Amino acid sequence: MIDSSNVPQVATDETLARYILHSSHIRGSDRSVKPDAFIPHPYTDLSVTRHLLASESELWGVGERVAEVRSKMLYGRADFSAADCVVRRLNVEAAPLHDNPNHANIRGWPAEKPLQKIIAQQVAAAATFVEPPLTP
Amino acid sequence: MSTGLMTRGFSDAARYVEREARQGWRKLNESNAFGIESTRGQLGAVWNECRQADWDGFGALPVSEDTLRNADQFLDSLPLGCPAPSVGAEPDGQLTLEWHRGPRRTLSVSVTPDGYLHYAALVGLNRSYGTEAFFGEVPEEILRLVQRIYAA
Repeated sequence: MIDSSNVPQVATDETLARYILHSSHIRGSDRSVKPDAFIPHPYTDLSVTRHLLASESELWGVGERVAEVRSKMLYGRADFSAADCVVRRLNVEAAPLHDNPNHANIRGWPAEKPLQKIIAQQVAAAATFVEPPLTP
Repeated sequence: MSTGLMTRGFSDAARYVEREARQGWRKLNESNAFGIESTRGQLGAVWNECRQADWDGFGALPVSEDTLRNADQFLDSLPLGCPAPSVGAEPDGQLTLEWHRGPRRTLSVSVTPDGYLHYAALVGLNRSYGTEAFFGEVPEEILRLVQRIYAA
């Protein structure tokens, strides 16, 4: 994970993860992620975790904590590039948390719902859905 | 494409005609290979999961009964033979109906509690988005996009 005392700015070539905590955000047909998972509400920014310097097990550990704190099931994560946000005029800003130095926020979303939807749709189109590893 | 079921009348006779037409329409749809009855089941299931606040763990708004009613009426209004959408929910409490054939052939319609439809579509290199009021018939623009998603 990133050293919490030295958190770098998010580079455009970084991979980000959005944890999926609701089954309706995954398509049953091809196990891809729906744009619904990227709509920023109730906040004006979208919470993600950077892959930078994180191992797979660390990424899943963060996801499990995110789900556990909320008493939800972790269905998986959507991996996508920060560049997919930047080209749509969104900003990805490092926002380290005490238990997740890799935390970041995607900011700059338009207020209008149709614009949010088309951006979320394009980010979702570029994202890869990753299922959690099977626990023994 | 339009169902042409809405009578727009206010008399008892007009309401009777509309009710009978709607029941007949449902029977036709149930018998159709592209029937929307399974979608209606999804709609109920998603609403049940999302009718309480914070259903996503990130502070989502609950999906209201008005939103459910509008989404159900939208499904009723789809033309016979129209491919069935899948159902989802967004954290602002809106239900989504999605027609999806791939990352660049996809249409999502958000149904609001106050009768608006926010839509976004990617069709090849083109993108479309906007808002339409829902008055009991599926807006032509949304039907046109469904046709484009399923065009050969």
